[in-house]
Amino acid sequence: MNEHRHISAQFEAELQTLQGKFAAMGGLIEEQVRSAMSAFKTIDLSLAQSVRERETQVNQFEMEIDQETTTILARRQPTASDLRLLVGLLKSSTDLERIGDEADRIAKVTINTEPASPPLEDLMAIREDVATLESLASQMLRESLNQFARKDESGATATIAADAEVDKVYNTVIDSCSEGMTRNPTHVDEYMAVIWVARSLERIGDHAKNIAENTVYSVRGTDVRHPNIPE
Amino acid sequence: MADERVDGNFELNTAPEVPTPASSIAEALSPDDWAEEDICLTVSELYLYYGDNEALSDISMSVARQRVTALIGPSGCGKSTLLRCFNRMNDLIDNVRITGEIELNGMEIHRTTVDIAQLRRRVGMVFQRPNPFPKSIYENVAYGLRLQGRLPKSELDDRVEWALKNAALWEEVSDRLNETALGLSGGQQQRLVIARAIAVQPDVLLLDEPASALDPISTLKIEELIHQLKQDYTILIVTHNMQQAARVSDYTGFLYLGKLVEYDTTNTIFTNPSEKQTEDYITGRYG
Repeated sequence: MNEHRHISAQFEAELQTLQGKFAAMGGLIEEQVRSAMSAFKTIDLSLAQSVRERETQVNQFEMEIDQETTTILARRQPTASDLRLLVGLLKSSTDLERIGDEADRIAKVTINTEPASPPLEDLMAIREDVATLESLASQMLRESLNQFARKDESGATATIAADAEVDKVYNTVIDSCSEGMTRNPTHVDEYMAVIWVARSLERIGDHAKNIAENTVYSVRGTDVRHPNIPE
Repeated sequence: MADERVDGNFELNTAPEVPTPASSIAEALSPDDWAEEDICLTVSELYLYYGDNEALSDISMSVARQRVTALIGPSGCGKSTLLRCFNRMNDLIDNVRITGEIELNGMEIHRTTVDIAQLRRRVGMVFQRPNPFPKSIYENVAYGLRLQGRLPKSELDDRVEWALKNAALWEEVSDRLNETALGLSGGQQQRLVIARAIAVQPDVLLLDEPASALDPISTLKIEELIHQLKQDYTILIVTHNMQQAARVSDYTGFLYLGKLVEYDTTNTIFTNPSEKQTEDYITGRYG
């Protein structure tokens, strides 16, 4: 990526403002995922509700980033690394917004699910795997955002590879829930809640992977999304 | 393609047949395989000196037939000088010395046997400011044709109409061909000059900042015209307007301090150039 500054200080400032906004949106999204999972694990309905209320802020960020990027594209007609950065930002902000939707979904599941009393031992074990899934997906999200900001293409490549582990743990959770529902058919709702949450975490991993792919594109100009299709 | 190495003289109507047009927009916009291109011009180790001052340094490049090739770079980088090499316009400047080769359809254009008037007919040129002659619209277009020899009036009429239609001007002037060309707008004058250039059916059109003196709508008309003309002609365009280069060209060369820093498909140059100097120039950075 280019370390030289633009001759136009105004353009330089516009790009920095936009990247700052993207970073702020990323921070909010990380917090949303953290809070949603915390609410799910501790059955904290008010925390889950606050996640749902903050969803508007996420959408607001996405709209502002879209609008500011469009303005820069129209007025500055950027090229090369500037163009790739803006395309990467635009696409990544969509991924962030989708991650926000998943956090909102986790919060909704938390609010709508009646917890068993006493808790099922079977589900406690599966929740260990969900915690692992959360840890992996959150790490992917955090790292993909850092890598985008630091233009760390090699780190982003590692993040892309990390998604396979998320998928593996997700499949384990799904298998365990399927078996559990057969054993405990009266607790299907609770198993389904875990499946929904696991599914959201798996998708968060997918979106983080997308952001990492956008980083590689922004830095190197290479599209690594579909290795089986030649560029 | 006619082989002109044999006698070293340019003949009329040696332009090759028009190949099949690109089958898709993507193909038309992004040629990416030199191997499939028919090469019209080849520049080899070209140096140009104004006195002791080296203005072009070791330029080697191929120009694909029926493609638009843009030359971009900061003022004084040598892009207009390079453009003027292709029809030996630099011969008109005192104290210019050129080494290296330029081949047009395999024929070295600096050979003593080359008829410069013929060369300039085959390699037409359009300048920044439209320069119609103070004659009628009709006579402006017919001028080059008359120089080639006497044509029957009906054939002359047909050729003038053909050129004006191909320059996307016919509909605007067909009812006033005998009026002075100086009464046309700047954009119309520039299309008239292009009609004059293509009337003699050149192989190559050199455009030196052809739209820089025009308003945005006239500029778009010229750009659309360039897109149409490349079906029949090889076009080289020098422009300061990088977005114009991005819009109209298939290949782009970036020149800096007389050197061809990078030459690639326009898509590559504007999305992912290889050279830092190119990147800094097109993104507007301090180099």
